[in-house]
Amino acid sequence: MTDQQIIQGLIDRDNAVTKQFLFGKCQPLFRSIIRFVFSYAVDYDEFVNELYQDLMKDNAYKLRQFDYRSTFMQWLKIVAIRYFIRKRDEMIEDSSKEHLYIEKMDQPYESENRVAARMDMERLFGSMDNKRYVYVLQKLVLEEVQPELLAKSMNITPANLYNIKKRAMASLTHVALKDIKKWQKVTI
Amino acid sequence: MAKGNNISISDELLAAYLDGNTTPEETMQVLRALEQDELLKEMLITSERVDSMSANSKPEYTLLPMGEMAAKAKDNLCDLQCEEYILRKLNVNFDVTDLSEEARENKWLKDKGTPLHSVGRLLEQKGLSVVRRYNASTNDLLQAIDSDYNVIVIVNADKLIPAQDKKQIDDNISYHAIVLLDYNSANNSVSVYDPATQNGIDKYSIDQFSAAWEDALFFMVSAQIKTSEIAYDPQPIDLNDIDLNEDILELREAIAENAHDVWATARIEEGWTYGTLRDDNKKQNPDMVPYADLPDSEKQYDRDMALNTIKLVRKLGYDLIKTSNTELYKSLIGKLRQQEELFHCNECGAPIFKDQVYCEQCGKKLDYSDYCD
Repeated sequence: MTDQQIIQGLIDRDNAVTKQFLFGKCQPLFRSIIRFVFSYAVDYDEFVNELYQDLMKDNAYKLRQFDYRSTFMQWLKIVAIRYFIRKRDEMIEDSSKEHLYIEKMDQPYESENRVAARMDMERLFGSMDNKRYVYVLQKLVLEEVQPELLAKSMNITPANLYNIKKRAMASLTHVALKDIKKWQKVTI
Repeated sequence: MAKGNNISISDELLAAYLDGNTTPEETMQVLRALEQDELLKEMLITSERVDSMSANSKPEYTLLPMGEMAAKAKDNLCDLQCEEYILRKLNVNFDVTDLSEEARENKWLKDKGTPLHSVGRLLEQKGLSVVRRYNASTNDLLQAIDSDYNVIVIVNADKLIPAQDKKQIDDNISYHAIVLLDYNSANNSVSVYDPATQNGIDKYSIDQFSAAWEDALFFMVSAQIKTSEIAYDPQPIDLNDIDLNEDILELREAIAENAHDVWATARIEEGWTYGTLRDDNKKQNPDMVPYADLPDSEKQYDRDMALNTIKLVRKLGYDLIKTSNTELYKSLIGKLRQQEELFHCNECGAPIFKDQVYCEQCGKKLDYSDYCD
């Protein structure tokens, strides 16, 4: 099933899709997130049901926010992480912390900022050990090479490239986090 | 340069960032926000940890499904029936019961099907020359059929015969063995013997067949009665997409040196000694020297063998972890032990790990319900 079909199935409250995908295929993902977010035992079923209700409330408003700029699993992971962290904090502080969703960049950055962003990325690339990851990010993010073309030139499949790209972004994030720890800010 | 603007990052933007689908500006927007947004920092760290521990975290290379089971048709006997079909066609004498028992005794056939790397073992046992090949091409199929080879291909049964009422929710592939009888480009059709349909001969369009075959990484097994005319055309598995880190590369030299010592020990037991030139009659070989004294060309042969072996291990879905007191090792072993206590196979009760695909004891294909507490 495509991401689109899964989302439509969830929105339509298709029992097969909801049960097999959300409560089946996603179970290892949700269990991992809950394990990392909570340092104590929690009721898995109750928590996942609440997450499901959250996704479906207001005529599945949250689900409809998905904009297909990532895989649905990647998006769902982020949504679930945010949801469970918020739930944990609410439980601890007994007060609601309404997080502000979405402050999309409505205006494109000026060209000056575009150049600065590229330079900042190049600087972070310099701290990344894996040059293959750097190469992939340079091509895909900075040079905006089509993934299919890059995969072909690297003699790998687009699926393999997707996995490399995901790891490369994780590596970039890791470097940036270290950078922040070192300087207490991103020096840009 | 200014500090981050303290802009909240939406779930959609963050997910796009992690998938590498953001512009340079958006990427830096996320990285700037990391400076001030503790929630974002925790989310990204959690995401990284989830990915690193998740079985959904796929490798950067295509794994060979050698351990997957060909398991369609009644009682998961599709491969056995394909091999029987070929033996009958070649007029090879065999007893159906014996054949099945032999397959089970050798673990070529399990309750839940035939591991792909065991497809064709019975044909080998009956004296046929068998070749297994991944990433085969249409040309390979045509050549095999033209050369009177009998060809078993593995396909995704769900794509070859899509069930009308079945929704393919996950990426699981229903591996299924069929015998390819004819591949006709002019008519855009392939003819197969499919043990699942029991129709005798089934016809499919080439597109439909190719899509189903692709899911099994174009795996084919060809078999022919042994003759002196069989041309051996070795095609090792392509391992170019496997990268090894430096720790693993250090193993290469150790494996190469040991492999040389194993080889030399066996030769010595057979009576071989050192000689400046190879002489099979006198059993002398110039390579009967310590590994360090070998010429570089010979060392390179051992190194290539070692490197390809390590790469193949990874290509088959295994990983090598240094068994020392590293944090990674302790964490993985701890996780395995913890999970071993948590889950058991519903069929036979053997301990299973979360996300394991098959039970090692009974071969049952596991699904998420097996991991329910």
